[in-house]
Amino acid sequence: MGQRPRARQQMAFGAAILLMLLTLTGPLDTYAKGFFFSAYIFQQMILVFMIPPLILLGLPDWMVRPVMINRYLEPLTRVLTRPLLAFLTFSMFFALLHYPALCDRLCHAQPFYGSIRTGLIVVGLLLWWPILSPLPEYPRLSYPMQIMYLFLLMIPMTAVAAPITMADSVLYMHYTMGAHPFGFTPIADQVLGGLIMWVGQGVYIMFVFSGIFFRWAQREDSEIPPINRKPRLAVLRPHGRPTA
Amino acid sequence: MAAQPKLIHLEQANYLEGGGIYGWLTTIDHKRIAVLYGITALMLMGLGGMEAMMIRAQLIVPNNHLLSADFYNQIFTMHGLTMIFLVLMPLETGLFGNFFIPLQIGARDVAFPRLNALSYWIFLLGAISLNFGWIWGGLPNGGWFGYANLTERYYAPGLNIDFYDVGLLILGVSSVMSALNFFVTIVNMRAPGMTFMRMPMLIWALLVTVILLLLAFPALTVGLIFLFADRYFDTHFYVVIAGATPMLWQHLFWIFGHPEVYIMALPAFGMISEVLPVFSRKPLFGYPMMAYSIILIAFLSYGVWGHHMFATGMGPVADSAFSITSMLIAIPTGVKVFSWIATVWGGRLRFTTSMLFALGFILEFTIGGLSGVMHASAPVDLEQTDSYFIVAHFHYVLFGGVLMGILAAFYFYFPKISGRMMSEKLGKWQFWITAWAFNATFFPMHFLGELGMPRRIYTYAPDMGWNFWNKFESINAFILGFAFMIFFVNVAWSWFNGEPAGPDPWDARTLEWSIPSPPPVYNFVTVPTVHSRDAFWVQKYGDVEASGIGEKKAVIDFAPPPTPEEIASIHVPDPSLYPLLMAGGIFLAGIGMLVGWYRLVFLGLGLMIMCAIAMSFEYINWGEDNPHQVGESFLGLDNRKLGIWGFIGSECVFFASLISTYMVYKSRSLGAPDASILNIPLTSFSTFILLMSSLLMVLALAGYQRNDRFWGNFWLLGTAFFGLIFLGGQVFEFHEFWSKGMLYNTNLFSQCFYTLVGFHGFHVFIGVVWLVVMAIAGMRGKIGSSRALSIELVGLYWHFVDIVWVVIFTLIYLMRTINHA
Repeated sequence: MGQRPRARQQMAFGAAILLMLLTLTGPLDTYAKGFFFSAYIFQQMILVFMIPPLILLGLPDWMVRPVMINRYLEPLTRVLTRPLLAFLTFSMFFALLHYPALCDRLCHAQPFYGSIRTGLIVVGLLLWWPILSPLPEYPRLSYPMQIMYLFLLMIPMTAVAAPITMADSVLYMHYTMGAHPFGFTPIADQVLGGLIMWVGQGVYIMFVFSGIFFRWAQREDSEIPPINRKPRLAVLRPHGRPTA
Repeated sequence: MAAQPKLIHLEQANYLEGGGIYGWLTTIDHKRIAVLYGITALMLMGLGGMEAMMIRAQLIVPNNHLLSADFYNQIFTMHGLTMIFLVLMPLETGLFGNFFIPLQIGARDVAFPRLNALSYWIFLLGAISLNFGWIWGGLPNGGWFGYANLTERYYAPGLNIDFYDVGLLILGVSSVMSALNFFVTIVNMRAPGMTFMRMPMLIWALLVTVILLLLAFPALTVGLIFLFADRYFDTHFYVVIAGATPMLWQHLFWIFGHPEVYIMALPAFGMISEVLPVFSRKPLFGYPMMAYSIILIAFLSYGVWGHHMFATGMGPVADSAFSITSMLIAIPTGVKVFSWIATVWGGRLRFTTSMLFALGFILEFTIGGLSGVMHASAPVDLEQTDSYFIVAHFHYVLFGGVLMGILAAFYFYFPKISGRMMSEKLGKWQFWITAWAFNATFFPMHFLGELGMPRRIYTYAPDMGWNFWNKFESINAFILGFAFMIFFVNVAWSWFNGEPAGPDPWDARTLEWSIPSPPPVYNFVTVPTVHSRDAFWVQKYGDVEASGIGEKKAVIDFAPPPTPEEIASIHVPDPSLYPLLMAGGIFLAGIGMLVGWYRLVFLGLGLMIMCAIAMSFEYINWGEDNPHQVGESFLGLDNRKLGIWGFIGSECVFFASLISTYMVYKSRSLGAPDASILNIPLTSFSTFILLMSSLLMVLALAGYQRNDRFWGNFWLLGTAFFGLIFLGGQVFEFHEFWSKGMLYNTNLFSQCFYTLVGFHGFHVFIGVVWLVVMAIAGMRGKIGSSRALSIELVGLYWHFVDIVWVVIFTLIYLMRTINHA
């Protein structure tokens, strides 16, 4: 056992649990399941962009280490948490999930319902790992790379959201069936959903990146987050090969 | 991958400084290339200004027929294209970027000097292609945005639009190449101690600009490729009757087009941020906020392209969202304006011409920004769009803002570039005449717009109430032209007769002023070590905050004669003729394609391939880890590796645009062949083969890294072989489809499919050629563990192509049958 989690960590973890409760139960979930595409997208955004960072901020390293670094899982986690692979895994999962036919068939049908939501949190954890890793063994990206990483996230997010927003017909048949409360037509609902994914997410990411930037700007002399400096198991690979 | 230039010792490089015309044609010195860019862009500025005069001469009185209507269309199109692509961009990134990136970060040259020369020559030939219509075939006449479907062959039969299409494609290649080059240079070649947070603001601005360039240009390239296909291969990417939508062009164009606005504006912001502190004798106010707002603007610029399309009927929800994001941009821009004012505030100002233009920039740019906020609001924009109000807005931003910034930088940096001061007397005349004439020309355009005068109108009736302001504007436009005559005279006169400047004429703050003007070929005798922002100022006065007046100034020896040991350690790249020849090849191929003279195309392509091969073998240290280069690199990363990563980022946008187009057009396609024609078993097999080839690539690299040449070559050839099998499968597949009657231009599905899969196949083909070249070099013993890096480069490219294929296979093949439920 390591030391007791700090108050900030406890608060972050509590917030994550609370957010999960609010998004996966209650009115938001009801609307997301059967009525509004936009509610479903809003739910997704919270599952991917808010809950995982809070979880990562809330976990102390001694709690994560045995899960991530053990005999069986280490080869997998070491590869998957590499920024490039984490990014690609997230992008592929996210893009596939919004393929209209797949979404109609999987996202709301009973056997898959829970696993899709869980999957979103898991790929979200992967996505945020290079930025908020609690383990010095799997170091965070340097500040400029973190900003670049978030900047590049724009490419898959736009590629998925722009066609949904700009489509002139309803793509997701699931939401054409049933009632349309508040007189909100399916097409307007779809545009709103696309915009939440695109603009709402973009503005949110801007706030995140602002936080990262100012943390970086405080340290004129270095671009490496302090957490990476803790004793590390891996030795930095020297550049190039020794010239014999 | 082009090899690194051979590094020659200083005493051999002396002829770089002379060398006559041949020396200039073969130069790969960043300073000379910058001067070439500058001269070209200034000449084109004269041309673009002349075009503006013609526009104003046509509009001076109602019912004027000075120009023919068609020629008027050509002139306003060329005015826009020239000023954006051939004047502002090359002056900013080409002239100032090239000259000052290495000087400000303390490097000897850019990361890829030969690529730099190639960018310039391609830029020059792109400029010629765009302007080819002056002598033959007619100038582009579709506006700088070239809206589809008016650019289709049916509506625009002449060669005009073809020059537009091919010219912009060529310029795009040049821009992306220099962006890649500068990206690697800034990230990797900073002097020791020069962290990001200590870089001069101009470098910050250029860094973000080149990232925008890398990620924005491919979208335009895709749009232009579709346009080319429509015009030459009878496809229907923008033909409504075939189910397509002309909106595709608008989206692709403005995804590029809005970042393009910031590609022009950000470097000007950076230049102002260099000029104001020097003439206020204060450090830049709020440095972190300035850098932050630049990045924030770049972030936002990708989410606002819809505000160019409010009039196209995107619907109230989308309009509102784009309104909000567009207005958000006012926040970081406002931060910048206030920071500049705070920089000047309480400073000890010196009103040189440069400072005057910088202050003019702040005022005029703010006016342009305010009218920008107005039409960020969709309902207001619906009234203003396509009226002279818009013309007023973007001239305030691009002329009053960007061009004034460039002029400020021109007066500021001219002494460093030429070694001579520009005439302050002529400069002040120019400034005051410009300040009057610019506002008198463009401010009334706000009124004309509100009075309903449409943009791009050829002529107008006398009873519209537009007569007075048009006459007023035209007269002032000629005065403005006169101000620029003063500028050109000043530049030409000062270049030969100006007062000698000395190394630090302005008592400036950054590293470039610590070396003689003009700088020697090698820039710095010893690469400087940086300990703070404004490094040179601190060196002189000991403190960033020092005002430099009445304080003890350290004596700096500007040009210590290099000692023999230093001479031995200085390496500068060798000149090369191939960049010029290669650009010539691209030009021949492009023109040959346009006029349908295919022998010329083959000649051009042959020349290009020959030059590529010759360049690869020009230098003997091909693919070797370069101790000098890494020694000067701050991160210890290899330049070429970083370059490949940048290239891959750019390619991602290219393929994302193609894939999105396919996804959108698949459901709009009419008629027979649709996605059910795709042969999944066959493609699954070739996908498997391609994935296996990635595995072999890993083995090949491992082989080279442990210096096991036999197995390295074996796996390398295996990778190439698997790539060939994949290509064979693709040829077979295409042949099958073709024989079933699915031609390139049958319907939307077929053309999107062939374009997307074909371009991927082309990438695989390039990869195979690269692999085979590597394997041959490996078998001849030219690649050992010290050169394993060159294998790593081809490996990165190969894995990238594979990943793209996995995406294509999943989205296009596996999901072909899943249609809407």
